[in-house]
Amino acid sequence: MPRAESLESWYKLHAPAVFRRARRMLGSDVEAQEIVQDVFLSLHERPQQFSGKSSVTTFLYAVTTHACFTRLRNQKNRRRLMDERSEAETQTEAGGPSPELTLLARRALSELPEDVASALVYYALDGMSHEEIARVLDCSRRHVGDLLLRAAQFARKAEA
Amino acid sequence: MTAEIARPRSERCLSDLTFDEWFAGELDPERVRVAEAHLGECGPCRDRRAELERERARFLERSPALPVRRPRRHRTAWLGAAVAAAAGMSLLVSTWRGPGGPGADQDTPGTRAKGPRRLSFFVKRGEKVTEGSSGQQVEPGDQLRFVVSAARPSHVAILSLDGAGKASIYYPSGLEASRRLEAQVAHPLEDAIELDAVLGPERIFGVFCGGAFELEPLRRKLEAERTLVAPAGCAVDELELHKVKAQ
Repeated sequence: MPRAESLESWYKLHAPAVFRRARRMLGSDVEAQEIVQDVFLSLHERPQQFSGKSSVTTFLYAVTTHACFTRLRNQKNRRRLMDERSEAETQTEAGGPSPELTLLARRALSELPEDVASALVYYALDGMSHEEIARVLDCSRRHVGDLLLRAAQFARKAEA
Repeated sequence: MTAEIARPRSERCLSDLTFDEWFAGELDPERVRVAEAHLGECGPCRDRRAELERERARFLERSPALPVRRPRRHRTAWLGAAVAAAAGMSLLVSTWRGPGGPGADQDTPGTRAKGPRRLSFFVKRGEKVTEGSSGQQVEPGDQLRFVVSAARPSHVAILSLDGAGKASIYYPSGLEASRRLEAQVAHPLEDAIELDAVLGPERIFGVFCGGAFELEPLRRKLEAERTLVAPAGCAVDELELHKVKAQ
């Protein structure tokens, strides 16, 4: 349970990653900054969210992905965000995902079930192994394989 | 199996998660040793680490401290002055009502039937901003900005049930739980909602509770039961809009 002073230190340690991942998923600095605020203010208001069973980093990965998923799933937000995003807004990072993968992940977040979309984001955007994804999703590696199989089917359809 | 979805780097490379855990001091010494050894022989991972470090520095330079206030979205910047002026006018009018005016029943649990509203809204169509009222006709593309009043600090959420029976969370956006707001009169919320193309009656529910509550169970309940009865210890203020085709 983060106290105020540890929340401040959590912010310095983890907010850059929350921002980076949210910006990639939503394609907007403004939206990503709001996710950072939402995540940390929510943690301040309800510190019991973090049970301590996982590392802070994996917990915040899951929370950030869910926050972006929720934002894209709100139909009003989705319409606005998807309308406002373009390929030009996907930034290429050294060693980061390609613009095509970034766009695919955004589509997945707005169209696929949350567990499938999250697995796709962790694999394609964050470069995580099946084992790491299993750790963040708190499930088996076999289940991660199933989720990624469904994500691959979605990718094939999107490409067709 | 996932050939169509390529990882950004090879299977042997370090993931962003590993780098972030490393930056946060969460890797045990053995994992640090393995990661350092890998960096020694992998150019792409060295580049990735350098890129992440630059990004961290840029972010902390721009946003060095935990935010204490939420900025308004750019999206709603146009609403600021008009809504503030109109909300100020509402406050003035309410104040003139005397002791029975603003917030007279605002702490009474239940679903509001009569009395001052906790929830009101403004509509922007084109460049025109007008104060809305329950029963009003709206059109797809109209933008709504909500205004709340509460006599004491409250946990607030706004949900909608559209003409197709789909429930959505309008406020707060992107959170799992309600947002706590201080006691205030005619406070415009930071987000505007753009109405989609689903026509028909749209019911808006403002939920005001003494404590925090989860949003998704409430949304599911609204969608299943097609109405929202005030949970224990909460008050619900309901508005109805009629969405018609644009003229």
